[in-house]
Amino acid sequence: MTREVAAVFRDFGFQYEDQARPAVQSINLEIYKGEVFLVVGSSGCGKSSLVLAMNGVIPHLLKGKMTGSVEVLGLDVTKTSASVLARRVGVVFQDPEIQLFATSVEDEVAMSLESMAVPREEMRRRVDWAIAHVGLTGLETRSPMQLSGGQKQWVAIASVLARDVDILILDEPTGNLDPAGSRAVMETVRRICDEGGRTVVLVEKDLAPVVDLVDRVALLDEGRLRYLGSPRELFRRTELLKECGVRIPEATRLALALEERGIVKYPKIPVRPEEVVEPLAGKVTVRQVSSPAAGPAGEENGSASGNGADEVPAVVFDRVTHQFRNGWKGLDDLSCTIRNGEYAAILGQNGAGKSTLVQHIIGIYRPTSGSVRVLGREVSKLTVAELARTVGFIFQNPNHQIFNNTVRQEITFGPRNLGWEPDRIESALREILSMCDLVGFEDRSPEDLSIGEKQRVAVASILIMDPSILILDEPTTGQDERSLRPVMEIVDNLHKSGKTIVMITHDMELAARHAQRVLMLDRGRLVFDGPPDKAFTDFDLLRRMHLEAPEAVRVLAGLSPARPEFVTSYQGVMDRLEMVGGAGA
Amino acid sequence: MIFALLEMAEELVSYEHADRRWHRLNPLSKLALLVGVLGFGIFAAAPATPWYYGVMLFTAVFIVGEMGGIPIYQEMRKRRGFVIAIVVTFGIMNLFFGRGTELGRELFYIPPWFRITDRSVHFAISKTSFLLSSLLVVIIVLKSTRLSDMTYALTQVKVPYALSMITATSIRCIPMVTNGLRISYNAQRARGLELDRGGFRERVKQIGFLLLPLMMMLLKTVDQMSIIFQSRGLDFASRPRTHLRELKITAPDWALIVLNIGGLAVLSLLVATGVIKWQFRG
Repeated sequence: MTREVAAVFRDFGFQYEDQARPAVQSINLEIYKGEVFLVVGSSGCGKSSLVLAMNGVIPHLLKGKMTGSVEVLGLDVTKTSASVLARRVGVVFQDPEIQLFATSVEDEVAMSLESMAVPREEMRRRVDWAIAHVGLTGLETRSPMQLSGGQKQWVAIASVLARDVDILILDEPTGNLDPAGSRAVMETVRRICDEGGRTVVLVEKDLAPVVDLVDRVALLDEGRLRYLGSPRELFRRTELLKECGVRIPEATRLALALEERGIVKYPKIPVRPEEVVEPLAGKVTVRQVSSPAAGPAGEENGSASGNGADEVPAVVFDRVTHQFRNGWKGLDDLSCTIRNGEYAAILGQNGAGKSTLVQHIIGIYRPTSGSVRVLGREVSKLTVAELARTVGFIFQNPNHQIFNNTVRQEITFGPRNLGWEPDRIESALREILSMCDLVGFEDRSPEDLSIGEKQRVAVASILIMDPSILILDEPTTGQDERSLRPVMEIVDNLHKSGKTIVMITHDMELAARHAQRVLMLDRGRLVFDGPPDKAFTDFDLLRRMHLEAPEAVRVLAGLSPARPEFVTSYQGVMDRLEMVGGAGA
Repeated sequence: MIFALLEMAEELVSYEHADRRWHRLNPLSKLALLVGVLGFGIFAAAPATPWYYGVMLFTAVFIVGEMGGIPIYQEMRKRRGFVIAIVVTFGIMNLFFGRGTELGRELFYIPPWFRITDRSVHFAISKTSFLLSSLLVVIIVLKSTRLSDMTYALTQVKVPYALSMITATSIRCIPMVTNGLRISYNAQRARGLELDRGGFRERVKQIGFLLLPLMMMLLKTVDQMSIIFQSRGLDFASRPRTHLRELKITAPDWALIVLNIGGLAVLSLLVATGVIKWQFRG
């Protein structure tokens, strides 16, 4: 039986007006009616360009050269206006902040229907249905701006559902959300997909969380289609995934390693810890390690932490409270000390106080009460510029700080502000370019760089000032596996050389792999302060904090629930497995 | 300082959902009030108008706001610093530079410029009252009116859709600008930028370092918003549209419209025919 086609790409290519290379090229693809289709790939691989051709944004609104053809629901996108296509194709974008325009949830959902002149009674029915469908009943009159990130995405989804579109495109809908927000949005997406009847196109950087949701997957790399087929089977092609910068879950790596050694044969390749564990029952046992408290992060990183107790700590928070003008306490009587040379990860949900905490270290916020000391100096007595000589802050989005015409100017902006001599600037620049793998980029415009290269420029522009303390704010946001790795390598090397690192992250794998110490915040209070092995094996604490343990820990916990152990990689799990009968795995 | 002002503007103009008298009125009647207050205010702030007209106008706006359920007193108390700053700044400005300074009974004189007369004091009071009344009425209208209702109501009286929609979208952008400015400011400060360092030229240059990334960020965001806007089938074209709520013009609406627009028409007629003296003519 031939399946009905929702969208057809024939030799499709598109090159943006201001870009030297095509964003996508030679794409031949059919998306069927009623299927859940995933477009996956690293940042800048052309995923968004591909799906924006389905609602006419390409070629009508974004300027550039289009080749080949795209047909959506029988309509040639080059001959159909974006407003006509918008009636049949709905898109939910990544950033919840900028896609909402109205002053209440119901107005937001009704906006497109008003534009389509849908009669009032019909509009009311559709708006109420869509709001109830995403679980926002009761919040109809609330301002979307007052909602959490996840709820904002629900509003965006509801506004598309109300239009009763044939094709729903979700472009990284959880990309800007914390773990709890992501889970809530993904549950809604799952429900919509399970209902069937509607073609759903998902765009993601990561395949694992949606693998069971989607019928087929297209893997893109540098604008080209590299794989089209079953999502589970794609995980068997680890080399291809690595090459394309798509994350391979630790559970999958472990499963493949176990298969390779002939221990087990999985009928479908696992992507979640529980899928790895079940078929192993009775085949392997977990060898207990005498001192599970010794976290591999500490061992592997050769930390310079724990310097003598008499040494001045890097950062001291002494009963710090920060109250905002609206009365909300960003920090609530928080005390903690970060020692020199430590690598600390700060975890917690959005609004827990993570950013407020680190912005006290750089002096952007001042405590309402209590004190903050950086290398023994009271922060309230220093300006942000003075602190910038000691504390480097790498912002979440490199675009927020990059504005100079060339990479050279961008990187040397800080030292010039600090009044360094030209010779000193030049020698520091050479060193930093080499450290951040940016040699040859000096005279290029930062605007022409990829997101990963831009992030390296942002890191270089901070590191050139040689700060003793480096703060990273959500280094994974907007980054894929391939672009994140070099940045984290630079940070690890800096830590090895004795720098203090403070990292805010939602990524538990990253925290487990790199940090030696974990601080968990909840509503401005410090609820946990200790080593990662304790943090990530305390499942009750993680549940309360709406966080998940790293996959490798969850595999071991599944095999040996009585005594969960801390490991950061599948190799760590393999080292602890023993075949029933004695032999090591 | 600039952040505090932007945040305040953001709070003052943001709609607050409630079922109060002002919220139940048609946006058009609230716009009539806005036009009325501005028109009467211009008259009340003229040098020839007795000073208490301005004060009366301010008091009237204050009372109708409170009666209609907008917590004006509470808002003013919350931002008393700002209100005092307006009163002091505009009061002083008008005292010294108002047109009445050359005339009237001299109260005191500091040569060569500072001549304070009874007329300049009156002028200062009426001008400041006008400014405060205008601010109050804008707050009343925006706090009690959904932007979508305002847009739809305006299109019903043939205001081009693009105009009303662009105004509504601009108000929506205030938080975006505040947030963008804060991010950009902090990102540059973290690299040693100090806005209060050096002479005038140096400071202007430093502000450029702050505004450039902000502009780039805003342009990108506006581009993205434009794509999102059109992806949702929204546009600025004037064509038949419907609205989620029915906006009726009730008796209180008519009363407000007649009182303001009619009153303003009568006042204009009286001024035009010279029955009421508007401009100061010595």
